[in-house]
Amino acid sequence: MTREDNTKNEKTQSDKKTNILSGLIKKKENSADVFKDGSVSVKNANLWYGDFQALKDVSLEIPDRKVTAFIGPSGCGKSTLLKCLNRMNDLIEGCRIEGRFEVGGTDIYKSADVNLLRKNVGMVFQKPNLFPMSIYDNICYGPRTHGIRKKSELDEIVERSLKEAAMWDEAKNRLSKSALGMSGGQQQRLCIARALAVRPKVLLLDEPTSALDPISTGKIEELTSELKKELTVIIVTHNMQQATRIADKTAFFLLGELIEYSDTEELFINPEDPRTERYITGKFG
Amino acid sequence: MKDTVAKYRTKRLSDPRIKEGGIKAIFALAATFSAIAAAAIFVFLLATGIPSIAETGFFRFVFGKTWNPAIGEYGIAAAIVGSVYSTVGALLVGGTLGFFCAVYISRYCPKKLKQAFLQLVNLLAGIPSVIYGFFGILIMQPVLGNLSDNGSGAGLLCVSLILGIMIMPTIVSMSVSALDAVPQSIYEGARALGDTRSQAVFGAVVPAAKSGITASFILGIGRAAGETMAVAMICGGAKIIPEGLFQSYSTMTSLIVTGLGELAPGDKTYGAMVGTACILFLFVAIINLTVQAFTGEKKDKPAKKARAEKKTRGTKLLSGKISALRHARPKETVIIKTAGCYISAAISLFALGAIVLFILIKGLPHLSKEGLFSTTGSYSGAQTILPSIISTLMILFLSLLIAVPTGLGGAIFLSEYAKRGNFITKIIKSCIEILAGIPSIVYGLFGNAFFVHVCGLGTSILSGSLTIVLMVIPVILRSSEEAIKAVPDGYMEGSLALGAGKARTIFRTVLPSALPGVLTAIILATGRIIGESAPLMLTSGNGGMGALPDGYTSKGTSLAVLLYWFNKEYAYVDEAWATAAILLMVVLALNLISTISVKLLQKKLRGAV
Repeated sequence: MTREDNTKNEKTQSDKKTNILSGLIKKKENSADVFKDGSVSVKNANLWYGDFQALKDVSLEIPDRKVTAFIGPSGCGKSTLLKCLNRMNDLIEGCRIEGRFEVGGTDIYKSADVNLLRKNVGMVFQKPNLFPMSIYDNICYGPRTHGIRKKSELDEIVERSLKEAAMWDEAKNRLSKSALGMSGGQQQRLCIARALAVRPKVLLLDEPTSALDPISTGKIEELTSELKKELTVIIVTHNMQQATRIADKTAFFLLGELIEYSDTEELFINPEDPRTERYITGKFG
Repeated sequence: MKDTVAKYRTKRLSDPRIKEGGIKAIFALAATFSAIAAAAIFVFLLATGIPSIAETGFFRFVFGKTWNPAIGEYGIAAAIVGSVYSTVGALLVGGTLGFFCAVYISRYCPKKLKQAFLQLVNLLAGIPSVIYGFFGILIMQPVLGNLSDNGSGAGLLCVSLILGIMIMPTIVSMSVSALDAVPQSIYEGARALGDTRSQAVFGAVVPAAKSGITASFILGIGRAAGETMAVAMICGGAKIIPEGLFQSYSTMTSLIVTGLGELAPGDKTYGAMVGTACILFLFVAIINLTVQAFTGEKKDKPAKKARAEKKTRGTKLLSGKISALRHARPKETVIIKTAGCYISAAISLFALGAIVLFILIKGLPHLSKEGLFSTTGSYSGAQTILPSIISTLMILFLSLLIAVPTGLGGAIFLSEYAKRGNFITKIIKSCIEILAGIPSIVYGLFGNAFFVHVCGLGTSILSGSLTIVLMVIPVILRSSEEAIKAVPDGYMEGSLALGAGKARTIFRTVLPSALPGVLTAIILATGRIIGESAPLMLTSGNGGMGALPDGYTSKGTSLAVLLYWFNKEYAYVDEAWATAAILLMVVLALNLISTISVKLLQKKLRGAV
């Protein structure tokens, strides 16, 4: 096989992939001009809630299509930073933000429409927050928001999103039933499916398993490893084992500062900073 | 596929911030409208009332005992004393009944019956004022007449009993929430010291709920002072200070509603009426501000301070308990109090049953097809009820059409857009509180001056509807705001995180979840509009109606006003019973509908369906 053949082969393969994920193409055409890819860059981020400084000069680069974990004790600023990335902090009164935040090379606080940003940077919260509607309507909420009305298209999106969230088998026979009748773990995976339905480039997970049992937690962890093939996953977690299990890169925060940020293995086996070492060995936190 | 992309693009382009901003502006406008209405009523009262009070002289007006427009003598001392007496009497009856009934519901009633019991008590609150008045005249007064020397049951005793039953639901529902909020640990602490159940309830739980119970009493006072139609029907109407329980007298509200008649602004007596309303308004406003101070205090206090206070209160209570035990709490008083609970609960149920049964049993036989629906036909004269039914429906339709969007819009603005602590928001909120506390007769007087005379709409269904709009907006706004605030924040976050705009989030997630609450608010408002009489009497028409209304510009007597008129004219007793029965059935049906629909909706929202 010549080298040319090889590249050609790769190309057809990738073509096939994009065809399967037809929605992905659509999204790329839509917002390719705004968000290039799922890489995230934060430069000199400072954030205050009133007088309290929650983030102190944080800078980090998060690679496209990898799982990145934010760890650290409560109140260290990891969730705050996460919420900066889809501008959910805008909702909080008295919150002041400085610094440059980029998603796919675009400054999200200057040039991007906040709703378009949130479409591209999805979020799943600590507690499942499904709407009091049917499963089907929950998944369709995002696509409908962004202008998709055709039943056939919506059906396709629902099936695909549920399959991607590994929920299809559990949910396919009760799509028209209220989503609130599902168990906690199922609800959280439905939340992930709902976020996936708008084809985001980045998915933010804010302690998604803290309210779940070990089996449901395992399912969501498996899911993140699948998801990173398509998008960037950033997960805030209190559970260090979870970070080692699923994250490619890990960032350790303490009192609003980014203490250490490197490949997960490196950070856990060979931490550079003594504070990181003390935290991961359980000396404080 | 390209198509959808293009469609998507144009959608995006056509709804930039302009749309969001526009929607926000509409909501803000709705909220501001309520504030302006409150300000307008306030300004009107002062601008018309103060000069006329000044004309008579403040002291002569307030302390003068003679009210005689024929000789230009305007002293409202008798009416003020009458108002005070009725309020005190109502508080004695309603406060005692309400307090014990609340303790029963909160602490003695079987858990399963609790909700049902509360709902029955709230039914009493939904019964229109004219029905109470009617019940007072035809059922209560003959009974009370047997007790009096002069053979007439009219007077302070009858007013106190009726008003007491009317304010009881307010006191019960507020006191029950106060009692339910007392931490279980306080009760258990008292039981651990060897108290019996009743000793613990009255020795520890009730004192801990004292501020809430007091607030409920104050609110009850406000209701009693502002009540108009029922009082006007049963007080007798003599302009003298009553010297016994069975003497005819007047209150400020009855003075206004019975005396205004065809007077117009500019008339000296009209001015004196507004002056009276001014005094009444001030009285009620002070009461409402006191309630706010009582209940608002807790909300604004930093949690820490509140916790500290709770702690000291807890220890105080316990040390109080110990000393009380040392003095050996007399068992007899506790037994009497406990018995009071059961008796009060029974009395409130009995009152509800008596009113409903008497009116239905005596009223239903008088319902006839001709009497109700004939356009020309008659009962004893040329009177049918049809024109009034149509007028009432017209008023209901127009006022809900305006008040529901305005109230709901204002509620959305206050709960979702307005910044907390913002100066203007605070002003709007206070205005709505004031608006909600204004007695209905003051609305009537304002509507009469502004819509009927200043706007030149005349006595018409339109004037009546607009007056009712002002009255109902705060009702809808406040309960919708509560309902919207109760929607979990997660819904909003979830929707925003999917890239939905704020307006879409509100319409698609927040409002559907708040629907049961909003629906209750609208049904409650409907009940209030149908039962409302005092404001409509002064704005929409107050007499025998004969002809069907031509449109919104023609006069129209609402059902409740019709009942008052029938009763006043003596000749139409059968018609009065029939009207009362219709009114009561409508109110009961609305209550039933709201209960059932809200239950169904909540079930659906919880995911059981």
